Amino acid sequence: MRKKAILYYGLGIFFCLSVLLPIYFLIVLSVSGRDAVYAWPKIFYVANLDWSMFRFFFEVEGVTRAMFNSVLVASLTVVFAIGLGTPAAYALARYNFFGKNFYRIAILFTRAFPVAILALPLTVRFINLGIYDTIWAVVIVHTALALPFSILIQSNLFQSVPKELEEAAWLLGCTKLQAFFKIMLPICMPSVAATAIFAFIISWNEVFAAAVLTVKNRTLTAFLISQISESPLFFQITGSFFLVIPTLFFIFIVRKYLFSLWGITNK
Amino acid sequence: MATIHIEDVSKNFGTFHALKNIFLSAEDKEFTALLGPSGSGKTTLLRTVAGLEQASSGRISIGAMRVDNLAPKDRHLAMVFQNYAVFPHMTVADNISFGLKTKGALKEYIAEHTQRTAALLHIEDVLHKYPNKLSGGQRQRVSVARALAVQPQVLLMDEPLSNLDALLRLEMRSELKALLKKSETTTLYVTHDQIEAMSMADKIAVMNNGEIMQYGPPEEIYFKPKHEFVARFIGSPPMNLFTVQTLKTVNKKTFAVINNDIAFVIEASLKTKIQENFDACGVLVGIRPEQLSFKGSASHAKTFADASTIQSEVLTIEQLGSNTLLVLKSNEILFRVMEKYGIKIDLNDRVTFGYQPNQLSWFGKDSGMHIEA
Ligand SMILES: Nc1ncnc2c1ncn2[C@@H]1O[C@H](COP(=O)(O)OP(=O)(O)O)[C@@H](O)[C@H]1O
Ligand SMILES: [Mg+2]
Repeated sequence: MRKKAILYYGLGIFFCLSVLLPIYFLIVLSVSGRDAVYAWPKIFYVANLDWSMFRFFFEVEGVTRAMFNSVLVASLTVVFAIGLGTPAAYALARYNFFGKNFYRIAILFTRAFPVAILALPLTVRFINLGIYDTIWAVVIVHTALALPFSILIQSNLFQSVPKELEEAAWLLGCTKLQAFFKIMLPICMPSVAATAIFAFIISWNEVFAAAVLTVKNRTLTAFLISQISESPLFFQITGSFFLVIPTLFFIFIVRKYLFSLWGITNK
Repeated sequence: MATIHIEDVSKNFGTFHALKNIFLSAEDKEFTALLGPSGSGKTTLLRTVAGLEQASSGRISIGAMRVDNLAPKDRHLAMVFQNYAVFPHMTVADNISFGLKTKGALKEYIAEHTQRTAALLHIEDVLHKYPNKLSGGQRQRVSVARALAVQPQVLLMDEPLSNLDALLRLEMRSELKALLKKSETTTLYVTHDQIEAMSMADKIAVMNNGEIMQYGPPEEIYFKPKHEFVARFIGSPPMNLFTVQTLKTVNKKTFAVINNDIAFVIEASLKTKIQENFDACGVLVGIRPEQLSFKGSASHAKTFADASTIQSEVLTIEQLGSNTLLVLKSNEILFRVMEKYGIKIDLNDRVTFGYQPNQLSWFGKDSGMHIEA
C-alpha cells in the first residue's frame, strides 16, 4: 500500500517536473536579460528583473504586426467556431433530422485530412478567390479546424441539460430562441466559454496552414517559424515565451471555468 | 372559464401507439387525476395537452379555444415537471418570477406577487438562494410556485410528489390540495399513486397501454370498476377476482361456482347477462378484501343453502396497525380479506366469510368488461 503510494507520487512528481521545469526556465530566462541566457551554469531564479529581451523582441520588425494578426485571427476563429458551431450543436442535441448520424460523422471527417495534404489545393483556391496572403485565408482554415470540436463538445453539453428546463421556459411564455438564450446558454456558459478558449488556442498554436497560406500577413507562429532558426538564442526564448504562455494562461482560465460549473464548486 | 376538452386524441411514436383515442372533458376548476402504471401514457397525454408533443390526430381545446396547433407558450397553461426542472442558474425569486417577466408584467407587481406566491408555498426564506442549496422538498415547492405565479387557468402536474420521501409527500399532498382549491385552476394531475389520486381528485382517468380504461369520480372508480384492469389496479390490496367454473341453480338461486367451498350468489337482475357471458367466453367475479366479513369458524361443510358465505383456510395473518390482512387459501385459490384489528383467528383455521351480493363485480373473462344489468 505504502509502496504503491510512493510509486504514484513519484511518477506524478516526475511528469509534473518534466512539463513544468522547461516552462519555468523559459519564464525565468525571458525576464533575466541576455547575459543570463548565455551564462553558464544556468540560473534557477530571477536575480534581477530585466525586460530588455521583451523590448528587443517587440522592436524586431514584423513582430507586433504578427502578434496583432494572431490575436485577430484567433478572435475571428472564436467568433465563427461559436457562431456557427453553437447552432449546429444545438440542432444535433435537440432535433432529429434526416441524415443526422451521417452529419455527425461528416463533421469528424473534416479532421481526417491532414492540413499538409490540403495546403496546396487550398493555396490555389485562395489565390483564385483573391484572399491568399490575407488573414481571412487563415481564419477560414482555423475555423474549419476548430469547428468539429466546437460542435461535438457543445452538442454533448446541450444534450446533458434536461429538456424539461427549456420546455418549462416555453410554457412560461418564451419562444424557442428566447429559451435558448435565457436558459440553455447561461447554464452552459462556462463550458461554451471553455470551448471558445479552446478554439482560440487551436488558432493561436496552428502553424502549418498559417505559414503556407500567408507570405507577408503572418500570424505570430508562422512569423516565428520562419525566423527562429536564424535567430539568436535570446530571441528564440522570447518567441517561445509568447507561443507558450498565452496558451497556458488560457488553459488556466478554462480550468477555472470548468470547475465553476454549477454545483461543482460546492464539493 | 378553462375547461379542457380532449377529443379522440391519438399519439404515435413511429409505429408505437402511446395514446389511443383519448376522450376527456375536465370542467372549469376541476381536479382530474391521470392514474395508471408506469408506461401507460400519462406523461405523453399531459405533454400533448401542453404542446410539448404534437398529437397524431384528434382535437384539444382549452376553454372555447382549440389549442392543438398552438405553440406551448400560447396555450396559457403552466406545468410542474416530474424532475422539477427548476432553473439552476437563477435564484428562487428569479425562478418564481420568470413567467411574469417574460409576459411583461410590471416590476412592482412582479416583486409583490413573487413574494406572495413564495409565502403561499413557505419558501419566502430561501428567495435569494440558488436551487442547488435547496432540499428536494424545497425545490418541489419552487417549481409549484413558479407555475402558480403566472396564475394559469390550466395547471398540469406530472407526478409532482413522486420524488419526495413518504412523510413529506403526505404533508405536501394535503397542502397542494388546499392550494389548488384556492387558486381555482383546472388541474390535470399525473400520478401512479392511487391514494394520491383518490384523495385529491374530483375525477380520475385510469390509464393503461395508452387507453383510458375508466373515467369518473373516485368512488365510482373504486366501487364500480368498469374493467377488470381497474379492479386489479385500484385498491391496496386490490380486488379479489375469481374465475367462475360453472353456474348452478339451487332453490331458484343461481350461484357462480368457483370451487367446492366458494360460490357467489348471482343477483336476479344479472342472471341472464352473466349466463350469456359465461357461455361466450367465461366470467370473473370480484369482491374487495374489506367487503368480505368474518363470520366465525366454519362448523360444517358449506351447502348452497348458506347464501352469501364462503369458506376457506387461513394461510397468513398480517397485522397492519388498525387493520388485519388475511390471506386465505381454498384449494389452489388465494384471496385476501381485510378485517378490523382484533379478530380471533389462527393460522390454518377454517373460517366463513360473508358478503353482500350487490357488492360483487362481474367481468367478461376475455373482454375484461364489466357486466351490467
Ligand atoms: N419521445 C418518445 N419516443 C418514443 N417513445 C416514447 C416517447 N415518449 C414516451 N414514449 C413511450 O410511450 C409510452 C408511454 O410513456 P409515458 O407517457 O412516459 O408513460 P407514463 O408517464 O404513464 O409512465 C412508454 O412506453 C414510452 O416508452
Ligand atoms: Mg410519466
